[in-house]
Amino acid sequence: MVHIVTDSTSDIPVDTARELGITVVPAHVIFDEQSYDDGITITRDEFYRRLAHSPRLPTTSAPSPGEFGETYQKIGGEIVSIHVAAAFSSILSSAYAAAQMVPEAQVTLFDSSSLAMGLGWQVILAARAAQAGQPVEQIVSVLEHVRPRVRVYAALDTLEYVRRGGRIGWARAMLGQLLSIKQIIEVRDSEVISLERVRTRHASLDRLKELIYALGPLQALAVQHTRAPDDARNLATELAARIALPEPIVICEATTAIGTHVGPNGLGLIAVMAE
Amino acid sequence: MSTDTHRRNPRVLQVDGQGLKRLVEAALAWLRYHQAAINSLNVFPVPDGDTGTNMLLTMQSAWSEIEHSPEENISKVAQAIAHGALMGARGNSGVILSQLWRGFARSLDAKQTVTSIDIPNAMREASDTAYKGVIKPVEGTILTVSRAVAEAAEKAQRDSDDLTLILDRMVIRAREAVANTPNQLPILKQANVVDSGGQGLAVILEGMLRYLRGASVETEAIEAAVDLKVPVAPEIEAGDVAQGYSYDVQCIIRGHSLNVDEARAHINGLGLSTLVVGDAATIKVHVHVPRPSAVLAYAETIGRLSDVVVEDMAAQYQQFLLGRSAPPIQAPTYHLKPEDIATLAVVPGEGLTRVFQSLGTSAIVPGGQTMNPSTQDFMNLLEALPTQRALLLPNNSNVILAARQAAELCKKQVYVVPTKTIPQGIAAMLAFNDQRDLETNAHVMEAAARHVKTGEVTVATRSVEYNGIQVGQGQIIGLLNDNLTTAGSSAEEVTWSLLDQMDADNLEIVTLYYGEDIQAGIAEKLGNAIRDKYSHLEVEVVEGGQPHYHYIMSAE
Repeated sequence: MVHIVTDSTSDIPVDTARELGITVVPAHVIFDEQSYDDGITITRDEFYRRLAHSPRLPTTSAPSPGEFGETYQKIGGEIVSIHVAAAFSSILSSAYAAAQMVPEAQVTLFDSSSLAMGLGWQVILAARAAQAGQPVEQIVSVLEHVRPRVRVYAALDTLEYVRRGGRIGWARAMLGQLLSIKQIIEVRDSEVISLERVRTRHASLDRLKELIYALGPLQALAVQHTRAPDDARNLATELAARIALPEPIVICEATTAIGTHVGPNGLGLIAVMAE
Repeated sequence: MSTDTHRRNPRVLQVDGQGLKRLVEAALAWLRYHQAAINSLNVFPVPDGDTGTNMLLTMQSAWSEIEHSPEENISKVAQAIAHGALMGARGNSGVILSQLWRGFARSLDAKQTVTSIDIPNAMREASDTAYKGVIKPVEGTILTVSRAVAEAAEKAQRDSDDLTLILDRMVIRAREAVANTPNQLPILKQANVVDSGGQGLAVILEGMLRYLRGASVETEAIEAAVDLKVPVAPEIEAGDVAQGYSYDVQCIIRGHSLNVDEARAHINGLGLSTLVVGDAATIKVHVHVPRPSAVLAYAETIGRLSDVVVEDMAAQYQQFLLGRSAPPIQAPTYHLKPEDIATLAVVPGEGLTRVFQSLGTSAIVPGGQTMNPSTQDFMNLLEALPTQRALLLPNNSNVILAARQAAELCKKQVYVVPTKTIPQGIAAMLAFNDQRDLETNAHVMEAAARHVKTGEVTVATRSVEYNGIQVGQGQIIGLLNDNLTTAGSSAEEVTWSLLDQMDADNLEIVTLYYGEDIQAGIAEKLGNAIRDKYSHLEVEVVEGGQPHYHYIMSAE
């Protein structure tokens, strides 16, 4: 059977990963010069608690080629390794370097062009194909059909973290912002796009829902949050009542790398449009 | 103009280009005389929407197109007038006025002269064009008056070929129609005023009639009585400036047994447009001179000087000329590429300008409440943009039509997002997304603007009773979403009642933009008090710097 590997920024719930036999390589979170394995030596909960109080933003770093190499070696055989967009992280290049070093495994790399559950859904659907006994070419074909149907929308409660992170061009342009603003973004084709801005949290959640409704029939949906579990649950309940979905909505916290750049109280909706 | 002078009221049988020119000149002068009165016909007693000023500026722009023209062909003169009015159109009434001229000019086709049989058609065409020029025609406005005038012209023409008589009937009908506007528009009745734009049109026609009858519409005699809120072409000044008398000097001389006549004679010898009045103890001087020192030196020899004001009219005049050819434009904050969508917003005050700039607005047109940019202002700005696509945010209900007109005239692709208040403009700007196409942006922005509530705190410009609210001139009033809803004795008191009317218990965020006359500390204190009373509310206090309005509040 083909084995599926991803990294911890995919946000796939632990149970789902176990069920589908997905191997998740942890990324690193560095708080005050101390490195932690995402989801293993630091829980998401702990991460967000520290994020709120840490004077300096934590940094995140990719698993090393060595770590990827160990994983690939341990698994061996045919592997499809699916990761966060190369434009956002060096994880894919790390995996690429590892793939060259491990002759025991035939690793096929796949750039999701997305992040968080935008990556996660691709991994889950690939793993199902793998479980069904599909060969590598077929799994890659599944991925290539899923990738363009993934939509990632998020509402940021504050622009403070995006600005501090300094990675996003349009966020830099809004330096010295005079008003408190809720930013709505889309992640698409390896790009973070500013969709629009509203003044209230209420309005930002309304816009998120409207964006999802406008997509038409969906194959899968996830609600992700950065320390806003209640809002995420309420949002999921509302969406479930309105949209017919072939499988339950996944609710999960967003990866630490995203949390670092988004800050607390962010909410995201990640959908796979029906074929 | 061929006239039959045997009658007391000279019969006028035809008008050519020069005749129309004289009629427009008379109309302009008569409108100037009535400017302040028309300004005072605001529905709400707020310091904006100066219809008289806007119509005057529109007519002035029309006049400047033909002022020096020797053209005798009436249709060519009419087209020039229509063009000038179109480009100079300010405020809603100004825009409709420009549409009237456009229709009038169009109906003349290529005629050399106009006789009575042409008038009904021309007035009908004028009115029809004006009706088509607005999205939702409302009765009880200048539109209604224009149609009544067209009907009167048609009837009168059946009775007579005398243009004086026909115009006389038109004016009578215009007056009746104006008087009837409160019966058609409830808000006029509530405010106890007639429609200002309709009144302006009646005044224009009346000015023309007075000319045909040989009555005076002399401007200079009455100029002093008219209060101009917006700098208007200073004709007298312009003449003086051209002759080198370019300083405007004002002062008060105090002393004992001053001789007013002697002082006047002396100062008269130094300059032009002299005004020297007073008594043995005080003399007030106002004069245009080439050098201010001569006047002041003389004044010093006869008494003690005070309240000295020296203004360089040449600079002002230059500024005025400049202002006509290019409006003051804030340099674009963001570098625009030709394929980008530019966003233009009309914004009063430095603080609000900063807010709009921080949201990525490409260019700011200064103005708003008491300064309505003209169609030409928008056109110049649009033409100057490096982009082919633009969105206009008028942020004032009285600027929307001029913006729309510019959008239509401009060869570029331009959409107007009809924002009526500053908070609506900010909400719209927030919804802008440069990745979306122009039309989608316009729709999304318009929808976003609808979601915000606007509260405005200002001073009543006159006494009025509206919606059961008794307002005295000078009292503080509050407007909720562009409607007068409350009055009180202080800006704070009015702010509280606006918050109450906005249903603050169900709001999430309130932003308080304080005006140029409010100190930051005062505004902060009010902001804190609001936070104390409504603890669930996020309250922002931001320097707006807007004139006339103590506070502009946005609430969501």
